[in-house]
This record gives sequence, structure tokens and C-alpha cells, in this order.
Amino acid sequence: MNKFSHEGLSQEKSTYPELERKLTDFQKFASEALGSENEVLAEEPVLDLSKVDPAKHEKTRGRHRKKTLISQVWKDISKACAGLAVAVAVNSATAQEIPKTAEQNKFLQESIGIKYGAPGDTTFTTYDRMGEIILEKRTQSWEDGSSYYQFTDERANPDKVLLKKYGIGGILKHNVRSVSKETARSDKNNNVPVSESQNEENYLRQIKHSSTGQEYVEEDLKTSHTTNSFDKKTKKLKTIRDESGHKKTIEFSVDGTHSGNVIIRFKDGAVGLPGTFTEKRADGKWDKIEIVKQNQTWKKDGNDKNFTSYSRDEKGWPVMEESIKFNDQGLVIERVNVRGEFTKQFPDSHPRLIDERYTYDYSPDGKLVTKRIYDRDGRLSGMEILFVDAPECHGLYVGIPQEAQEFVQ
Amino acid sequence: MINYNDLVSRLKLSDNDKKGFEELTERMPETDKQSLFELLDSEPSMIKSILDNFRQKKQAFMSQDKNALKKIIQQEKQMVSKFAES
Repeated sequence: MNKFSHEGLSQEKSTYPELERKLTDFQKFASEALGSENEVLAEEPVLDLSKVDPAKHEKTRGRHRKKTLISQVWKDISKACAGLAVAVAVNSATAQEIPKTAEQNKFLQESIGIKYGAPGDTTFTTYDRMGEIILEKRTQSWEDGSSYYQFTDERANPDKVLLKKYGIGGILKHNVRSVSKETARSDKNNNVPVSESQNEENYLRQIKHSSTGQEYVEEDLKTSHTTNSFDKKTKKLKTIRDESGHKKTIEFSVDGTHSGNVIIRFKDGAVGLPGTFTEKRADGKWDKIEIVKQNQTWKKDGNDKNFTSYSRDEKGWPVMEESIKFNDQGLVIERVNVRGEFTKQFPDSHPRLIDERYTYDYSPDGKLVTKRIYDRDGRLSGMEILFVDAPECHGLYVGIPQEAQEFVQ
Repeated sequence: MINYNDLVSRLKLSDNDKKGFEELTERMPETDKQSLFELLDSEPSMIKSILDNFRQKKQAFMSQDKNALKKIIQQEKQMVSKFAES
């Protein structure tokens, strides 16, 4: 029988008695489960080739190999599920232990009028000075060690809850979905299934910021397996590894490199990477285009603080245009994305202005960023608070009623 | 060595299945992954059974439901036998 074990368990035991109990129970269950899987494997007889007709030798061996392989795969799946369940147990026992700092609470309350609750609190009401976004927020743990936030847009969709999934450190992992309040409440296991539509935003957003506020890197990564290295001296992205661990090198020059900042923003294929690129169309539907090769150029507008990047595919069709403005300290204060419709039937069409404008306001101490999101009509549609004082920036999304409407099922 | 992306594109998964497959393989060590890839490479039709198995088993593990797991393992045995006869 297999003995199930989990690395790091001994460390957790002393701190979290509840976790210890859960994991002990689980260990017993998992041992039995994996033991049962072993029995399936054991039922597979060892193949004695001496008793096999040579004429049928290859066929028999091939079949036997496949049978063994299938049995092995069932067992491997069990192991994967066991790992997943352990992550849940660890998370549920530790999630409540992560306090928000008094400083963060104070800033939020004083500067933008947020009543800020601890994880697990049921209500979270906020409003933005420029608009009237009133939301209720709840924080709960997710099965893989991350958290999700529940938002209710009390004006537009009072009966719906928008769930957004965050990873450890506040990294936005998935724009999840809108569910009814009843569904959200009845989900006792904190195991709300991920929406199929989340693929619309199947990338991670990771924002890093140095304590001095002089370096700013924003990355949109397609999956958590994607890694990159970044050369701080040359301000260039050096390498990217895809999900399979294959190394891809990106070489692109930034014409007029800014002294203090570099912005890198890519989804799969967005910056010189061959691949499939998912984009939202003007009609709200999502489309996929395939980019075999893409060129990106950067242009200064005479003011060192403003840059625009133009992306075109191999045939010169416009793919994306992005304008970025910096303040005197070199921090990003505004970004405007111009996206094309990606219709290959009309290669000469200019990309239409179809979506977002973001503005960024920094707190006096430079430790916190308020990001505002505007729709194409210039209306405030969402807001995001980004803590940048920790080694791993913690992002708190505080309201996006526009999205709540889009994700209503 | 079978490439993840190549395999996924060959399997022509729906978005939902792709998500499930990604979640499953994320939890697997490289050697286990290769066994799975090898199986799917030779028997692409197995993907549906594998994803169903993962979803059911995940639920059983999460809720520590012994009966559900027993049932799943029974199905696994039947599937192996069925495959042997085909």
C-alpha cells in the first residue's frame, strides 16, 4: 500500500492544529485510495513472452503495454487529485491567518472611502470618487491555494455575484464568472467550478514594483508555467519559456528606451511570438487569430514620456496598438489600447478604437497604485488597487460592474 | 518526448476540456505526464475517459468519498478489460 506524504507537512503541523487534523484524515484516505489503484495494477499479469506465439508476439506485447499504461495513468491521476486536495486543505486552514496590514486599511479608508474587511468578512462596500460603484465583496479560499473574491454589483446585477480568482500574492489568475447569489452561498466546499468563459482571460497578470518605484514591469503571462528573464540593464525581455518548458528568445528593440521604465505586455503571440492570439471583438464576442510572425515597432511622439507600440502580423495587418504615458518620475500614468478587428478579409482596414483606457494614480508614498479602467465611451467601468510595498505585489480588485454585466450567464 | 502543445492541438479539445487537461497535467510530475502523453498519442480517443476520470476522482478526493472512489476504480478496471478485448 502506498504511503501518501506531503512535503512541508511537518512545518505546518505545529502552527495549524486544524490543518494537522485535516491532513491526517486525508493521509489515511489517500493511502487507501492509492492502495486501491495499486491493486488495479497488480491485477495486470506479468507478460511471459516465452508463452506467446512468435507470430503474435508484437501485437500481444503492444496490447499489454497499452493495458499497463492505462492502469498506470489511472494511478497517476489519483496522485494528481491527492495533491490538489492537499492544496485545498492547506489553504483552507491557513487563509484566515493572513492579516491585512493596518497601513493598507488606513490608506484605503482615508483616500478612497473603502470599508475594508478581513478575508471571510461578508461585506465590503466601496465607492469611487468619480463614479458610483457600490459593491459587496467577500473573500474565500480556492481549491488550489489561491483566493477568490466575490463581488456584487448592487446597481446593475444585484442578484449576481462576480467571482474573480487570485493566486497567492494577489496575482489575478482568472476572471471567473458571474453566478447567482444562491449558487455562491450554496457552495459549501468553496469549490465553485471555473467558468468555461474564463478562457477569455486565461492569462496571469503579475505586477512587480521595486520599493524605490523606479522599475516597473508588467507582464501578462498566459499560464503559470511561462517564465521569463528580464535584463534590467538593457530593459529588454530576454527569454520566455512556454508551457512545455521550451525556451523562446525574443529579440525586439525599443526605440528610445525610457530611462527608468520598461513596459512589457504580451499574451501568447502579442510580442513577436508565433501562436494563437485571443482577442475581444467590438461586438463583444471573442475571436482567435493565428499569428505566424509579428513585428512590433515603437515610436516616440516627441515627448520622452510617451510611447506607442504598433504590432502587425506577417502580412502587415494591424494587430494591436498601445499608447503609454509616463509621469515625471517615470511611472506609467495612462495606457490606451487600440485593437483591430483582425479580419483577414480586410487587410487594409485600420484597427478600430474598441477598448480600454487605464489610468494609474500613485499614493504619495509610492506604495499603492489606483488603477481606473474606462470603457470606450470614457465611462469608468472598474477600479483596481495595487499594493506595491511588498516583495510580491498584492492586487485588490475593487469593482468592475461593466464586467459583471458581460459575464452574466 | 511528446510535446504538450502538439498533443493538445492534435486532440482538438474544447476550451473546457483544455482547462481540465491543463489542471490535470499541472499536478503531474514529468514522468507521469509522459506516460499520459504516450497513451493519448497512441489512443487519442481515450482523452474523454481520462478527463471524466479526473473530474470524478477530483470530486471524490475533495470530499473524501470512499464509495465514489470505489465506483471510479471499478470503472477503471472495466475499461482496462474492455480495452484488452478490443
